[in-house]
Amino acid sequence: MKKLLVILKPLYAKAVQLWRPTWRRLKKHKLAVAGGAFFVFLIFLAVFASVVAPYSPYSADFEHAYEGPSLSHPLGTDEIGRDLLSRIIYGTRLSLAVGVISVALALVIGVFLGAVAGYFGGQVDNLIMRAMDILLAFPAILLAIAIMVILGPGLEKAMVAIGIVTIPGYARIVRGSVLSVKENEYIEAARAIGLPSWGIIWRHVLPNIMAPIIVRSTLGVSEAILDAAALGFLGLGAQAPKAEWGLMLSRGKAYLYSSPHLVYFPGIMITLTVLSLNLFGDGLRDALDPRLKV
Amino acid sequence: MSTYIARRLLMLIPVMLGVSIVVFIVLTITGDPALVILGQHATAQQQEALRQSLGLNDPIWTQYGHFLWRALHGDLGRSWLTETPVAEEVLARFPHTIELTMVAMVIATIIGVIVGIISAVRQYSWFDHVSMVGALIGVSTPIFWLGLIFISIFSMKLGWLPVAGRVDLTLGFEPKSGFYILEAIRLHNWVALKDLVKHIILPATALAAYSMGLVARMTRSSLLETIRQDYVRTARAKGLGERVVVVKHALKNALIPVITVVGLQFGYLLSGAVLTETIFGWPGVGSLAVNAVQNADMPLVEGCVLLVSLVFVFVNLVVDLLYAFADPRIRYS
Repeated sequence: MKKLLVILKPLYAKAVQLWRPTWRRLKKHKLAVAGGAFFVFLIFLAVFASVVAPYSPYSADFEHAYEGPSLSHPLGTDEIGRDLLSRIIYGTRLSLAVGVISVALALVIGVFLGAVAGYFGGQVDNLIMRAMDILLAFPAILLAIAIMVILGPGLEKAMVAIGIVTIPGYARIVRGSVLSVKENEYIEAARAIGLPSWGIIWRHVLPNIMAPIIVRSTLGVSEAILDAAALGFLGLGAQAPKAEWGLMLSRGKAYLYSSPHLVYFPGIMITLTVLSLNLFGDGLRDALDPRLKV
Repeated sequence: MSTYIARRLLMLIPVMLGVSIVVFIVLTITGDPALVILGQHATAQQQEALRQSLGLNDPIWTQYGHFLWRALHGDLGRSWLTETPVAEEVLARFPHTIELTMVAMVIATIIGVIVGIISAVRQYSWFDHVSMVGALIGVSTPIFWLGLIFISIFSMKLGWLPVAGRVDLTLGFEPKSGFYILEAIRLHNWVALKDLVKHIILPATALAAYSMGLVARMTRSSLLETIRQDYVRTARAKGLGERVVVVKHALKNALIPVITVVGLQFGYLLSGAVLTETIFGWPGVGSLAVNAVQNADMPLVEGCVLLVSLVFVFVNLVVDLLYAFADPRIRYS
């Protein structure tokens, strides 16, 4: 544990240093604050789902199936009488988990590949970036579908598929930032005193390119949530009876005429979640570095 | 310029080879075709014979060589389900997807640019606020949900537009190619054209929402930046009217970054078509791919992925070239 702290120290120190001026600028950005606040609310819902949700997301009640919004069921019930509000609240867990985990996956691999390509250059750079070009040659959702065909359906596998599909985005941004940071004198100084390349990348390069990576990741979470919902909708992501928003939409569409609330509410929740992250990400981009354009 | 184009075209070759390798790997590791084609009750001998005839016992690179050779000759294998040639099936569906994508792109560009211009010219007006919030919602809404909402409101509640499909079959409109709208115009079949437009409005608008939001935001910020430049001030100082200043002087430069966004949207729209087509029962490549996935019809899945990627890469290249052409400041290196 102590060792891990020592390793993470350079990134942590930079984060502390970035925090104050960023927060000062971010506070003035009202829409970004609203987006961030809503996202914190979603995290609260996800963590305390079992306390907040009025019913179990799985308990069927056939006598009250297809009911519209009422006092006992504020968002109505689904085709087997499960409470829609409770299912949507529990769905927050799945969507946030997909968003965060798939971005974390893409981030670790993408940052590694981008940093190596940018720092070492030459043939390594060429090889890595051409491989990224190949991944980018597929429309994202089609590549994700193709990967899901290999892995088989399931939410965990959807995280992997979305993670793989989004790696090139991170690798490209990191490579570009590394290229510009690499030319600075402090890197040359670090090299002159004989620090090993990996040490330089970790302690001097990565902390200085954190801003674009943070912004990209925030927006990446919203994209990952949308993609996971799309895969769920196509029947390739989460499987029944999981309370996943995309899957709920997919099942609700059969009752679009008679019980449109089954489609309206999960979709509104996806939109609000993505919107809040987009607002927050946009604000964060302006606040972290006013000159930055991602 | 021509060496730049040639170099970019040459760079396509390794990328497309890489794409074919990925597709081949997916095809190879998704299970034994002999089992899928013959079913579980076939004898080991029958399976072995089929494997032999399909070349599945060859070394993997020989198999890839054969796959590539056939693909280059337009042979992408046969669907496991219908046994029709994959290339034929995908190509027959492609025009439908292209037509849907193009209409979506036209809607996104026209509305996006107009809204962006008005927002920029009347910065901080109520129109600006409303349209920018609308644009943000547009880029945050899942396409498939928007499609369902449109169907629920405009088709089911109001009954203005058809729920799904490409054309009313009772019209007996059966053109030779899949470009139905172009065919209807060519044949002067106005009744069919009206029906085709009715069918395409909802899916195209749902598909366009994201791009529309993006184009509007891009146009607004780009125009705002341009309007503050010295040459625009000079134009105003000359005594030109505001309309002339914006349309003739500022807009020309402001639209350059918008071109890239619009071009890159084509690729996004192609992806989005997968979802939109599924919802609206649109007979394009997207719904074909989704059906193929659901039927575990691997050659068909891979055929769709391969062809769509090919178009995707090509379109992105054309956008890059157009961009270099539109903005002489971009160096061809």
